[in-house]
Amino acid sequence: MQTLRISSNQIAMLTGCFLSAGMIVSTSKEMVYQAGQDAWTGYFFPMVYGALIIVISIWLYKGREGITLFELNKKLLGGIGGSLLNLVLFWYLLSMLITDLRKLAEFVKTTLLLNTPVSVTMFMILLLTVYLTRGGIEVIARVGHLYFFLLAATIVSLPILLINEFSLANVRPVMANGLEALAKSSFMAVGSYGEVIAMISVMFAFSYQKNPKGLHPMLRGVVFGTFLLTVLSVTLIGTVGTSISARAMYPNLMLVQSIHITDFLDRLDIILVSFWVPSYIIKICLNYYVLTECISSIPSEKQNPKAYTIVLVPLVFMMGHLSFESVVELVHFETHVWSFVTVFLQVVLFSVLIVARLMRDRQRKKEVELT
Amino acid sequence: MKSPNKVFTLLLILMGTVLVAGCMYGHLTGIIGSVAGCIYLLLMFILLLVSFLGEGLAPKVMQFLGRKS
Repeated sequence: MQTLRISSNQIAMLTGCFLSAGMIVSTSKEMVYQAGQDAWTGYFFPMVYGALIIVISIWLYKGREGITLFELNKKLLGGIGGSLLNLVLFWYLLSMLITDLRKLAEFVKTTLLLNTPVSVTMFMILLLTVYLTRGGIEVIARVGHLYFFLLAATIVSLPILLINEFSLANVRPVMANGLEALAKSSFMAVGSYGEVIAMISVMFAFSYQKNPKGLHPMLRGVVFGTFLLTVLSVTLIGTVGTSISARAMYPNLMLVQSIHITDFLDRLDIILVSFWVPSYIIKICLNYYVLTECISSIPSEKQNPKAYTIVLVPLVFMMGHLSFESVVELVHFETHVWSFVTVFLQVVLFSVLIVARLMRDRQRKKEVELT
Repeated sequence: MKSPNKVFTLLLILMGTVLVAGCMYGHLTGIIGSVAGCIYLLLMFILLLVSFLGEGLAPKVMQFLGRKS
């Protein structure tokens, strides 16, 4: 049997790409609406939340590396309990996938393909996703590694490219809106950080930590993703201002459109967006891969995940097409509903798994004492 | 030398403290929020150095933090 392996750096890059590409499109709009000029500080508590679920997962996986989260559920909760939990996770991952797919299709319609229907764009993205997903997790990791550098480079270079448009007066007064505004804007981003569970689900099966005492690569990825989002957010508020950022559908697109270095480099936004879109597709591919792993783990015996890659296409496409009436509804769902769903599901999931793990450990200790 | 996990946790606690304190007192005068914002960004940059450049620069930074703290 072929063994799939991903390096620590690829995991860190993939996690960073997963977070920053996922939130680059729309979340910042609602965060600015809630916290005004302090929205850039709103990524700290979601980062702590993301780090926390990674740390809990590391503890849950201790001594059980080499399996996916769905197999771990079955090991800890038994066949029926594990399958039921996997079924709930399947619904969660499917919701995550269709939200991302539709969001990207709407974004592409606004920026690049103005006259193409959303459903056609969505279907083409889905076909590309299936093609990449059939290549396996290693292919996704390699492509993610490649595009993450471009994504990071474009975000880090934004403050320099926009230095002539940036006004410090837009950012000041700093932290003057109080804790309530910070809490509200932070909660908007928790949903997106909670999506790290898709990474957690498969990464422990295909990777090993080079230095077990060191920092886990997924934690590094969360920090790097947060850094990029903070840089992007500060640049957005300083350049575009809070009132326009809070009202525009895609404020980050507006930000890159504000780049005016010279007359002949006026449409730099198309180049930057063409780096962002593939990074987002990598996130969708990873979601899709995790979804196939999840559905293949629901039956009593694990099946081949590749068998589900094409089978899932009609379901994902129809749900993506029918779930949201417009992009406004989609953004509202992502910022107001998704965080609540994520926190609720993950608190229940991890509480059940922690209790099951503690019970298993106690049982094992008793068995050792008896023998 | 301190372990990266300890330095990571310490930096997270420091960032959280600066952020909460800044938001609690930032409305009093503009300077409090501005200073808190600068420290927060600096700490985030150190966190990035410590965590992301794991095998390269991070041991040196951690060694430096370990000696000083």
